[in-house]
Amino acid sequence: MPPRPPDYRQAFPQLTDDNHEKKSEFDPRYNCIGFAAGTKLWWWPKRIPGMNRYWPPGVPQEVTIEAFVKAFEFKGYAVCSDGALEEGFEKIALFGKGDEPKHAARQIDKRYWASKLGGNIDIHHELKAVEGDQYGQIIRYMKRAKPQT
Amino acid sequence: MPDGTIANAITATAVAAAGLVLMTMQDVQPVSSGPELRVFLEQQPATIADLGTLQAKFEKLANEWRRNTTFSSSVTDIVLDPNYQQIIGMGAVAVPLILNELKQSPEHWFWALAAITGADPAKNEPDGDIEAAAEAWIRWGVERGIIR
Repeated sequence: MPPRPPDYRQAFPQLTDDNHEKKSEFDPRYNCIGFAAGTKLWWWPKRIPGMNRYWPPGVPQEVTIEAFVKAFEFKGYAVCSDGALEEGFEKIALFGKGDEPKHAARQIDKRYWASKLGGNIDIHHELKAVEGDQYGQIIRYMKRAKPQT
Repeated sequence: MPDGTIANAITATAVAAAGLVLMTMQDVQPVSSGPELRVFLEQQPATIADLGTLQAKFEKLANEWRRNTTFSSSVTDIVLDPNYQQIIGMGAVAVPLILNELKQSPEHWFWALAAITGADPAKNEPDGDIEAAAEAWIRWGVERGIIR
């Protein structure tokens, strides 16, 4: 096996024993955007030579917050004001540095959000615990009605 | 691992790398097999002799690349990492090393493989499916004798 990268706790120093849970092993097959959208695909707006990335049809192929908002609108989300738990809705949070999107997380419950850390592991965490050098700050919240079961 | 096995592995990698170079030259001029391969090996003594060093260099660069980019979802950030760019700069000799990495784990080696070889064997694979893209590249390498 290829050597594993450094422990994620070094990259996200705000994560503590009390504010997150590791939920998967290293899995490079999907990224945070695809994971937040409920898939196990690698979502990215720009063409990747050598493979076919996924990006919703009709959405601008730009690495901008606006384009990422439109990508989640394609999945039925709409921008909302905060990350408070709302009955009947599911939410995502977009992180970025300036206008450059860096990460997305989706809400699990009142306390925890689910994140795929790039091509690495999945965790459940308090939302702001992954803010910082890697992913910047929360830029947008979006919500959609939970699918009928 | 016995020394003989290491030597055989390095020789196999050298031949595979040389074969890839010849293969990529096929678009320019027709080549047959034996004599051209021997000429290539004779003309590249430093490359062949240093394959162990090249493998070590590759592994060091690959590990640094993972360290720098593993938490990023941005393919742009992933491929613009200087270590990744140096691997692309290693050229055809890196291809069997990359393909063997892909066999272990479907990481983002596609850009490097496309940049070095000009091939696009995953073009018909499903969008966003990294595992399918990795399998397509591995098949491509096996079919050309670059990896086993």
